[in-house]
Amino acid sequence: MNSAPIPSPDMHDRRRRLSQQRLLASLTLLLVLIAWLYGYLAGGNDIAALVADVVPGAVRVERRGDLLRAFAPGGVLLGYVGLGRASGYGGPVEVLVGVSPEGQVLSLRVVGHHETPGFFRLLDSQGFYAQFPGRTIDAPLRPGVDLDAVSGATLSSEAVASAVRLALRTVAQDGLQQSRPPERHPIRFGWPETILVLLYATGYVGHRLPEARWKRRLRWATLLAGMLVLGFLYTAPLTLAMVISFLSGYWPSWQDHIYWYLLLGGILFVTTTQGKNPYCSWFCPFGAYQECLGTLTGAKLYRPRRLHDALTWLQRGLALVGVLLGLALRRPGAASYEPFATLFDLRGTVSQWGLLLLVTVASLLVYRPFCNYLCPLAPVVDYIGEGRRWLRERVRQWHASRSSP
Amino acid sequence: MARQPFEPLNQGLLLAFLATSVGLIAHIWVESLTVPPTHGVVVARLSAPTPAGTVTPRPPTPAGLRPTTTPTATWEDLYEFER
Repeated sequence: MNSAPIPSPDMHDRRRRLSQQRLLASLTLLLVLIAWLYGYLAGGNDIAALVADVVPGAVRVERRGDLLRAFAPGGVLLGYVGLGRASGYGGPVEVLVGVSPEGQVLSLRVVGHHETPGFFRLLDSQGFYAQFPGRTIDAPLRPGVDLDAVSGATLSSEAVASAVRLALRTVAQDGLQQSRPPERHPIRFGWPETILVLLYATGYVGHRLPEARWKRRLRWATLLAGMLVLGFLYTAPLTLAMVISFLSGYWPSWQDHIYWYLLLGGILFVTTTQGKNPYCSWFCPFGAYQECLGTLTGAKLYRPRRLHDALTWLQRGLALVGVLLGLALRRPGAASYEPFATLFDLRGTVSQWGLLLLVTVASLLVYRPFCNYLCPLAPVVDYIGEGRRWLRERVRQWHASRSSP
Repeated sequence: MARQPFEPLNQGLLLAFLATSVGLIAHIWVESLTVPPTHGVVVARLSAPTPAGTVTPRPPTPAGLRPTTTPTATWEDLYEFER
């Protein structure tokens, strides 16, 4: 008769840790769901109450969908107000645009956004909003055509311009009864998207190379390309804000944001199907920056055994707090704390510069300090990997139970 | 066993690095999240008023809006500023 093997103390310990981790993973999921629900229920603006800001003198407002009409005392029509929404860096940007009865833009106000405040402020300080009032309703209003985009907040400025165009379209069609051709959404597939696809492909091939020397060379090539192109040239690394936007349901239009889908979708796809993280070790621009610094001094990975668990949970804790804040307040850009844009775009607050300086110095002493102790993306990818493992176990058990007599 | 760089001084340095970083991250969050998302965004406005005769002086900052009880047939919501 075969007796079941007696589990060793080590195995007991491993099982106990695994069940603890799974309990915490379930609690994390519960907290994320609660934060999501809170953010969903707490959102929303009373748009009509803000009309007096864009049409001065309005005392009465009528609303139909995204169009509002503003009246002076005595029922004199002062103007129209259109509400427009477009996808920005962290989620939808909403603007109210006041238009005179003759079709001239009177004013605009951003009534909601999910961008990083430090960068979104640039739109105001660099006079981006001041370009709109006085324009006619049929002006192109496109950055690079008749508007100056804001360096360092390109996505946000494009989102505001796009939202204004949509608001003006609503005013033109439903308020001024002017017919408009449908808005064209050309598919934007440029250099960043092409480079990203190439990096994925190179990472996929490089990961399978049998010879370590070539694998190492190819990895360095993708790392440097990632740092130079996705980092310094386009400032488009993966951020926690993207993950929170994804969870919040702030999915941008695919025609304008193929890069967003390729980067986030690609990582989710590879992590869930292959159980591997293709981004961090192969082409993360900030990881490459740290690794370059570490190579200069020969910095090694440092993870004292007695601090191992504490370091792991510190990193996970930071990621969890960031996700919960971002979801509960529906502000992905504000919850993201990585100093990526500070390095690649040379913009940031004192704290962001401080963090970048600290990580830069630490990178000379320890291998990839931000990636190994602080980055919120590694725990997110680990969490997906853990979910994948759990699911595979369940499927295996289900198959075993079906095949056993 | 491979020699750990900077041991044992490194452990103190590492903890100092982590403590400072976490402090800075907390400060970044406070900076970002205490700015209201919509308020504080400057309204860009045409300096010249709308056509003569149609603009009345702007009322005092409205305390709020109340839906009227007589919505029109075509406009689904109707609001009036409390004056």
